[in-house]
Amino acid sequence: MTTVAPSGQASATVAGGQPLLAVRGLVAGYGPVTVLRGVDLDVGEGEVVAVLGPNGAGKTTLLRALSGGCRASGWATFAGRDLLGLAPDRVARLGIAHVPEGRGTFAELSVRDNLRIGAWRRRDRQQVVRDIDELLDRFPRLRERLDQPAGSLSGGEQQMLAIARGLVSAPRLLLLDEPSLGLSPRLTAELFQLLGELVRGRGVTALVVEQNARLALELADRGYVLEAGRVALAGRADELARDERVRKAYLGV
Amino acid sequence: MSARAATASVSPPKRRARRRPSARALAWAACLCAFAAVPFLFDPYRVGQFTLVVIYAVALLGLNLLLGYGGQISLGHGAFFAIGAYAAAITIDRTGLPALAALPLAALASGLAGALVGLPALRIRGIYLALVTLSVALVVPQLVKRFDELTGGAQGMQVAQPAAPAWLGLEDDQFLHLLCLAVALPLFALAANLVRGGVGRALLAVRENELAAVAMGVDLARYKTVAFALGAAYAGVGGALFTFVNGFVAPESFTLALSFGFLAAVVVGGLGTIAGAVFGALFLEFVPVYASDVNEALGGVIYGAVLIACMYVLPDGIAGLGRRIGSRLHGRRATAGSDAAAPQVQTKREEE
Amino acid sequence: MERLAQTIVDGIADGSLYAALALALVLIFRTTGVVNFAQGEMAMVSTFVAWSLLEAGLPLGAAIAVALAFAFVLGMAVERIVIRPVEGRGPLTLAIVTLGLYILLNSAAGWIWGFNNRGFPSVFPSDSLSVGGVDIAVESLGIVVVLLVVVAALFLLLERTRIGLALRAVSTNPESARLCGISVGRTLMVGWGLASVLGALAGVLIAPRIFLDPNLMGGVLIYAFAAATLGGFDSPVGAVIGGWAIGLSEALASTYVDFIGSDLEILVPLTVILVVLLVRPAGLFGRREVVRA
Repeated sequence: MTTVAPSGQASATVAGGQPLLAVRGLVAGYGPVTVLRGVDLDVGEGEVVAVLGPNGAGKTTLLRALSGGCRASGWATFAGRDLLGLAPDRVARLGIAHVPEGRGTFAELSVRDNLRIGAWRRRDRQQVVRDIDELLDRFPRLRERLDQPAGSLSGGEQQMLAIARGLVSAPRLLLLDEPSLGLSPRLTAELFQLLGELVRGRGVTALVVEQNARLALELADRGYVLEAGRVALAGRADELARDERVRKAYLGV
Repeated sequence: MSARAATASVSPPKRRARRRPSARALAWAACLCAFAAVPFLFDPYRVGQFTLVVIYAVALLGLNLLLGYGGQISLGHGAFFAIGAYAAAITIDRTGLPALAALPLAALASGLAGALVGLPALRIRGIYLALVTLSVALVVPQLVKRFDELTGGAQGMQVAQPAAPAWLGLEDDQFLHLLCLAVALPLFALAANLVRGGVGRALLAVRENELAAVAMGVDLARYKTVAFALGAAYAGVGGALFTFVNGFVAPESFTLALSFGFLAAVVVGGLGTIAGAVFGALFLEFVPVYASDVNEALGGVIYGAVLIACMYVLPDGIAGLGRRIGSRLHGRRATAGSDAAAPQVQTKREEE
Repeated sequence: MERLAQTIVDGIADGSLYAALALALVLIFRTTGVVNFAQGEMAMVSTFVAWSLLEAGLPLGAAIAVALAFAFVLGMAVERIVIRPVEGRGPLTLAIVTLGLYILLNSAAGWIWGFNNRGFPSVFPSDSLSVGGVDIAVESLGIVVVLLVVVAALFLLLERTRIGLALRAVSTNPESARLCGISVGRTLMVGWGLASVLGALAGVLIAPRIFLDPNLMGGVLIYAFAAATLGGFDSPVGAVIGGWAIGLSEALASTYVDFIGSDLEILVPLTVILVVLLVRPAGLFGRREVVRA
């Protein structure tokens, strides 16, 4: 039941050649409940890909399946390596940074420690220090609160911390789960602007699950729409934004 | 179209149709007969062991009420057992009352102690409650030693055992065994009734989710105190029977090891089940003995290893295993085992 | 006056020993949320290993060093083999498993080494120093110094090293720790290993003061629990302060309060536990109140 937007096939890549992340027939769920019923998806090196869809469609499950957080079968490769079945910490060490829904902050630890943990997989101490410094320049509010427990930060600040934590690991693929969750419209706009600079601006490859379709499609190169555990639509972000079905269902037009 | 749905439509909740005695009732009847037959089949030593099983079962019923149904972790059950034992000893030895009067007095004494311990339970949960109950378990033997005029102190106290009435024509050990059984029977029936009725439901509600229970109108304070008092009272009766059977009480009989033993036994037997008390008692009485038989010095090692292995293999305890086998025999799908004592963790199913 | 000073010194020395074991309990509890009833027995076994090495002719320092290494391996093994399979199963199952381990280790020690009392030499000389007219045993001072060094080392480890960061991450949020690439399993093993070393240290320091037998640590465990409760089960600083407080109160109570004397000493830690849990369950320094998982 896969309808495809006019200009794209599920396996389109921007740069040509092998996609960094390739997923075919992904089936995933929790215990006896199956949420994803066969998803095909690609993410090319340097691309930002948005994943849209209603609640319950399986967007979070998709990211979980990729980072080893739920049962998954099918086929998924990352830079040529088999991804499914790897433990979450193995996946992270491969360079996939999953910023989970709800931020996954280390609430009792300081902001500084949260960032240090984010950089865990990296061995280049000096560069990590420089990178953290640079990120703190972009997130001045985090710099202010560097030694405070992360749990004392506001929702917006925690989201920034979570994204910074993901970025400081110098990921080859960033998985972002609902970055706008719980944030006010103003904060969300601010956040997406930052994402634009930090992710698009630096060529970080990212898969972004997001409720806010408009902002997500503005940020992304391509997008997928998940419905009931399958890909319902796929294509370039600008084309999806113009698609009638998408506009009606997700852009409130 | 699961079998469960089918059964639900057959027996309406309010009215219990008269049906043939269930397999469970038959099993209980068989168990009772078996225990009743023991005094006539075995030598006094063996009979004594089974008598202890009956006594432990009564105590474990109490712990099960408290922990299996009420969800309150208690590491001090041995203390209530001890209080009952001493209450009985003091009644028999220092007052002129007949031996049987010791039973309700022991229940009362332990029940009161339990209610007292239950008070902190209102504010404290989990491992902290466990620590408080642990403290109680340690204090009681020390207090016994301190108030030695009353309790006989560290040396202990000899107590006259209830003697078999001549007209019964029984030996003492046989009589005591049957006496314990006679006391245990109504206690088991009472417990079964309690857990099926309002008290049981309230306790289970408290165990599963305290917040929800309060929202449903369960008076937390009352039920936690009730759980402790009841659990302790059962242990107290067990302790009194222990005194009858041994004719002697001393602090060494009621060390921390006993409390730990009770806890282990009730979990191995199967929490949240009545049958678990019997299985647990059998485990408590016989496994250490057989472990020591296998190898004198290694007895404790084997006991500890068996205990650990039980937790891996039999999370629902022996009773749970029995239930699973029973379900399989009836062709229904077996229910998954889980840590019966831990309230169901509300896993937020982020199904997105 | 001299008696008071002596009592205080004894109290702080004993308190340091409780604190050492309490630190082990706190470390395990912080990282894995498990209350390890077998902590004392693990320490006892390690102490016996030291004793055996001594009997075999090793000098004291070497024997203790090897025993501490053994303790580390023991801790890792217990986490991997005994605890890991039942990790997610709830506090009660874990409590029973650690109780089973307690029984198993206690009996195993009795089987291997027997239940007789035996002596264990002290690392410290048996002299006393005269401070302000009061005689203070070098051993007591030494114990306190060792504890302070250990606490400092632990602090440095937790705050400044990579493994310390991992331990803190895992103790706060194991899920997120995994997503950052931390191997939670290996981290837990190290945590248990470290805690076991702390316990073993307590063991080799306690053994010279009383007899070495399989029941060496049984009583100390309660005091350690009280110390951890008072200080806050997730605070290492709390464990130390708590240990000293318990040690002091016990020494003072048993010397000056007739009712307590020397057999109801146990009432002190127990009362402390009760009062703390009723008044301030998180303890003096604990940050989160630990409720049933």
